[in-house]
Amino acid sequence: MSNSKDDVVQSAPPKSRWTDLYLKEDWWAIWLGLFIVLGAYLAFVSGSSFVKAIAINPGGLKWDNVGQIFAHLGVNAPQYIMQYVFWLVFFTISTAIMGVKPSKFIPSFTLLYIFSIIIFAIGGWKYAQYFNLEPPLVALILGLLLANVLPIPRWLDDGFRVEYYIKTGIVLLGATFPISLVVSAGPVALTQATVISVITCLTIFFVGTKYFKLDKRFATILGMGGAICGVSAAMAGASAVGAKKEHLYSTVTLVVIAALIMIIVLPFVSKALGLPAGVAGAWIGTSEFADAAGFAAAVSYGHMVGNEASALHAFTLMKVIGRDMWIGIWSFVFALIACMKWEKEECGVAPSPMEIWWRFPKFVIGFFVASILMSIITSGYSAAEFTKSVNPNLIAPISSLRTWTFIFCFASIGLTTRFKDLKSVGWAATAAFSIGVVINVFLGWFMSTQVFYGFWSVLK
Amino acid sequence: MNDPAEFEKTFPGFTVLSSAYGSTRADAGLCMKNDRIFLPSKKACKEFVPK
Repeated sequence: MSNSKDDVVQSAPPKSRWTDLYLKEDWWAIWLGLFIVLGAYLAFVSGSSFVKAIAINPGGLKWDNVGQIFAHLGVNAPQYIMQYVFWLVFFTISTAIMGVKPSKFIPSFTLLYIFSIIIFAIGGWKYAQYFNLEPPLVALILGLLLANVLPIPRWLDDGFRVEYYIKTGIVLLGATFPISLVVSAGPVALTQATVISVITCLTIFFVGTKYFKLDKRFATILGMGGAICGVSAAMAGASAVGAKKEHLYSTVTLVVIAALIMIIVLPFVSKALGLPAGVAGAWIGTSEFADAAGFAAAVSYGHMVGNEASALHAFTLMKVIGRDMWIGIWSFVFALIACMKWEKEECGVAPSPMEIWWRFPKFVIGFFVASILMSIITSGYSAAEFTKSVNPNLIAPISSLRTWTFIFCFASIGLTTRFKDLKSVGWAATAAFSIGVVINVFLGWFMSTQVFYGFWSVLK
Repeated sequence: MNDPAEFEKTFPGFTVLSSAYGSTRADAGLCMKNDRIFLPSKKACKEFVPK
């Protein structure tokens, strides 16, 4: 049923965007991330070891006797408690301001924190790597088991904020990501990501509409979901073109299932192919659908080959800089097409170019600010000073806290996935999306391993 | 309806890899009358209730 002109009395004016500074989790990720970076820097220059102390995690224990874990937790209990309180206070206050009840968030986050310690501990087992027990994969699989076998109450989902945790982690990642690398590698990442995104999106759209007779709007959000940024892009596209509710249902199901499969498959296939960490990171960056899922795969592979930095850097360049930043432009372009070609008669108001800013994933700003800040701070130290002092006392604590946010995210992915809740999808949409995924994965492999192999394989 | 909590509950699996509290959603919501997703600045009917 179309929305008749009589029903659209006038467009509701956009609410003040200043409220986004405290109502959107992107901004809270920036506030928390930069607070940690500045706090770590102040502690470093004043000689305080406070931040280093509360950045503790049991992931590096290399234990072979469970008693060693309990001994470690016992001896360091005050640090773990302080860290837990730090996360709890910040996340509870920020989510409460956004509208999540503390009475639900607090118990949920507490369980998530305990679960995360278990994940870290498993990853810290002496033989974990031998059995490929990579923390992101363990977090995902254990979470999936718990969510689909036990009756986890739904209200617990209020603490499993996948996107908030990964956005905070990405801001913290900026602090360990030299801005010079963004400048030197950004253009290659952007070129590769754009070529693949455009071809994949157009493939899904034209195959979906011409061969499988899908509705144009449905094909659009399938294309955006499969080619740009998963569910978030599909949602942005849905509102840009006025898609139906069931279109988004189906897209969510397809993206979630494909993304979960990729988290497991991509690292193991990369290992079988013997790909350098940077090459695999770049391939994962164009093959995965969401930042959270992609970081899980990239971190897993980085651990497998003993080079997490290169895998993470390549993935971030390709996904965050090459794809995420451009969601607003894609949405605006499709909104224009929908307004000027598909629904000329009922188009009430032409899309505003401001959509490009409204939909811009603001946490990326935090990533850049953290990168620039830390690049300036560390530029004044010699290589020897950096290795001896800066790295262990400033960079390492920030990296550890970043790892915590990543583990919160990966665990939350599994804990929020209830397969029986996912809506069923018709074969036509499944076929169109799958063809796009195959093209996307192949193109990503081709460009990462053949065209730009020399570039990605030496990325630090 | 563009309340983020209600938006997340409406779409099963949404929060696995996304969030209605993120910037990319802007103020998009679901038109309960026509079952379509819009930005209120683009289209709104007299029944629209903003968050």
